[in-house]
Amino acid sequence: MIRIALDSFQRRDLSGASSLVDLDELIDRANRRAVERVLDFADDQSKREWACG
Amino acid sequence: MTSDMRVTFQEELQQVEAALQEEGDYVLRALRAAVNALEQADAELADEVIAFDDEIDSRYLSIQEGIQSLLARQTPVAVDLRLVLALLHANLHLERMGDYCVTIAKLTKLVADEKPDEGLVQAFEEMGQRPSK
Repeated sequence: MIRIALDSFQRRDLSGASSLVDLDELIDRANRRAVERVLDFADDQSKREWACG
Repeated sequence: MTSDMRVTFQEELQQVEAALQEEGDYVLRALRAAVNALEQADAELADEVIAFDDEIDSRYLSIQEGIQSLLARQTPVAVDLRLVLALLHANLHLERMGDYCVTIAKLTKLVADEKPDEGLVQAFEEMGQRPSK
């Protein structure tokens, strides 16, 4: 994705640059999954304590 | 702008663009290494990522100085100015990505002895692999 961004910039390639919007969507989804996973930890007393330490 | 100055300006602009591409390659290396360190809980690789950030910072400063010099001496306007400002912006973001890789590396070291959560590691892998393609 970083390569696509840099190549698009170098070639002044508008469609390549536009494709990054959809790729970012996939990262946003993965991030959401990670956040939900972290929120699940909130139920675990020992892990919550570790995170606060 | 005289034609000689114009040629010099274009050459300098190309040099700055080439340096930005190189900085991007360095950031990609740092990102791949940071994600690998996280996946494998590899503290040694995390240390390498932290040390490697100096290389990215050095390129960032060089590009920053090149752009400042271009702005001061050539006073670009219109499309040239927009390009120079875009380079300035991209340079800043690439340097920041390098800093984020350092943050990942430092956090990797902090949790190296903890048992990893498979679901979380998988999500991080996916998030790390997409930008580095």
